[in-house]
Amino acid sequence: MNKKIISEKKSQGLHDAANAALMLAVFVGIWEVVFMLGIWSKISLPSPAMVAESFYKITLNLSLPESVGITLGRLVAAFLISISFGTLIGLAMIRFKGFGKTLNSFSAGLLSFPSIAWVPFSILLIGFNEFGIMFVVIMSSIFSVMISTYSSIRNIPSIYMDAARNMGAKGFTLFRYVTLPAATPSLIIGLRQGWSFAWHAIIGAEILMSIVGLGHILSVGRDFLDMSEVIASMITIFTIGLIVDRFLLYKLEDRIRKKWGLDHHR
Amino acid sequence: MNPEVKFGIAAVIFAAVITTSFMSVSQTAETVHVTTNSSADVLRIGYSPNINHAQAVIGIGTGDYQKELGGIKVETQTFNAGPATVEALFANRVDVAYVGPNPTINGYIKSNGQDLRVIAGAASGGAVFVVRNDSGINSISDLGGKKFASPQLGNTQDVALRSFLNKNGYKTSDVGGNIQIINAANSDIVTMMLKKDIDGAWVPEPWGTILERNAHGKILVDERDLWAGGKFTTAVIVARTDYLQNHPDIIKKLLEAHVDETLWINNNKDKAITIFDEQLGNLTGKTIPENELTEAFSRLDITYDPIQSSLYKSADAAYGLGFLDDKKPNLDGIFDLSILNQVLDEKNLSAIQQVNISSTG
Repeated sequence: MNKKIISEKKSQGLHDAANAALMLAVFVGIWEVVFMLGIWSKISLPSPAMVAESFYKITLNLSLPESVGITLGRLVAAFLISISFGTLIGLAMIRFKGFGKTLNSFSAGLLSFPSIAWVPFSILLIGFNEFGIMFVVIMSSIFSVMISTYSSIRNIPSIYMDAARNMGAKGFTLFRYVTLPAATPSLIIGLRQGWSFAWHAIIGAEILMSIVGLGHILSVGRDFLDMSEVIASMITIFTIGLIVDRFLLYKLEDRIRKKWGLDHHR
Repeated sequence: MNPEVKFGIAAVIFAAVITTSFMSVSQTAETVHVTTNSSADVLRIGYSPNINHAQAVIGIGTGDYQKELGGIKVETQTFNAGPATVEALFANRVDVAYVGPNPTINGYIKSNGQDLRVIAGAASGGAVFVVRNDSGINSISDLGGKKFASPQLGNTQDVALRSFLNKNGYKTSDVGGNIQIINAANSDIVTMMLKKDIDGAWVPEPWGTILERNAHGKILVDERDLWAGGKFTTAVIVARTDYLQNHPDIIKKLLEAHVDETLWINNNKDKAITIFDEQLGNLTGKTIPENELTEAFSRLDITYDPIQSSLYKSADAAYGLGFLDDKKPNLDGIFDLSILNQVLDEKNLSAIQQVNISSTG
């Protein structure tokens, strides 16, 4: 890319950052004004400063960094299991058409099944522990991966497959060099959706059953009537979700789209 | 608007917010509460469908309270846990509430002693340390390396459990010891006992009875044995301070109803249990077998005495465990038993001496 495009991208980034900064400032400003007007008691709605203080406190005593680490650790482990099994089942759904169609219908119902609704079942089946939490996350995200795998592959234009077979590709070669790459843009979208479900699930599961973690901090904050801590953990949850989605998954999707020439908004 | 200007505006707003934050911190907090929600004709009561809120469950369900309050409309809201109740009190959705001592203490401290007052007691006792029959625990010396549960971090039973363990020389895992404590809802605790995921739990009644009878448990410690005279508060009535100041007459009527209900329950135990179960069914859709309720009630005192010394001791214990911020709790003025004592006097019952200890040594 030549210099002009690079500098255009940079200034676009600057514009975005400026907009974000302004929006954030206005939000915080309105919050402070509402706080000073005293419409809600200090206990129900703390000021931005009080929340900042809470942030400082839980970062300093390491409970926030630890909790973020633990939550993300559980999440990544559970999500990886979701992806592995979800993909395998998705592929099985392609291979065995009847099974695939039936499971696809079932999964549609389970796709948006509220993650918290899995918790009581998980406590009974797995237990009130790490694996119980991971079970909830897996059940909340696996159907997304399954359906996404199934439909991504089914939606590959048949001409790709025909052309490839014509040139002698078959079996694993066909899969590795044609099917998989062709399905990838759509798969990534499914991945983002699955991640979103998994993220919702872990916080909900942690609020209902945990000893440590981000959801736990939120829950404890509430039990001790510490709204500043509640809001601080909400902000942390929001920020992490944003960072992962915007800066990891979105960029990944973007790169793949560009690679495939699907980037129509050039 | 170019980016530099936007950044500039953002910076100015942040600076303004920071400045005003310092200003409001230095002012003493006397926030403006919207009190117009509570009109002079309504009393909004918050409570939980628990046996230590029996007066409310029975009195409200049977209409006794409304009768005593006459022309003042009684509106109620039930909650699953104390913190939520105190939340609602501060958010001006209820005016008085039956609630446990620990959420009360937290609320008092969080509001710098401004926003609530304890105006009466409701229950004493009713908490037990249950262990699994096959947990290998036969006495207090067998607790090492085990896993226990309590309903909520920092709640009354959680504080009791941790204090008990500390007093007997044990340490919990979060400070390098070998005893693990899990916090879970009471129903989940039953599940965990049945699945042998935990070795025991410190729970309020009727869960103690339920664990004993339905989850192969035995009672290791009856918490009453740990307190002077077997009395320690497990439920009180709190009122929002502004409501108490603006409507002492309504509060008086409420306390009359409360005291009457307390006396009635104590004089009609069996009938009270039956009616309580009925009302519980109305509130939650489920009832408890009456023999379990009877056993649960046997470890509980329905009273109007807030047993002040026990509340102060609970606060100290919570503080000692690190649950209450860094400063020693100042509970000066948390109790206001003046109206209760008026009511007791009119009924020829002995008054309850108000005990003001700012923070017990």
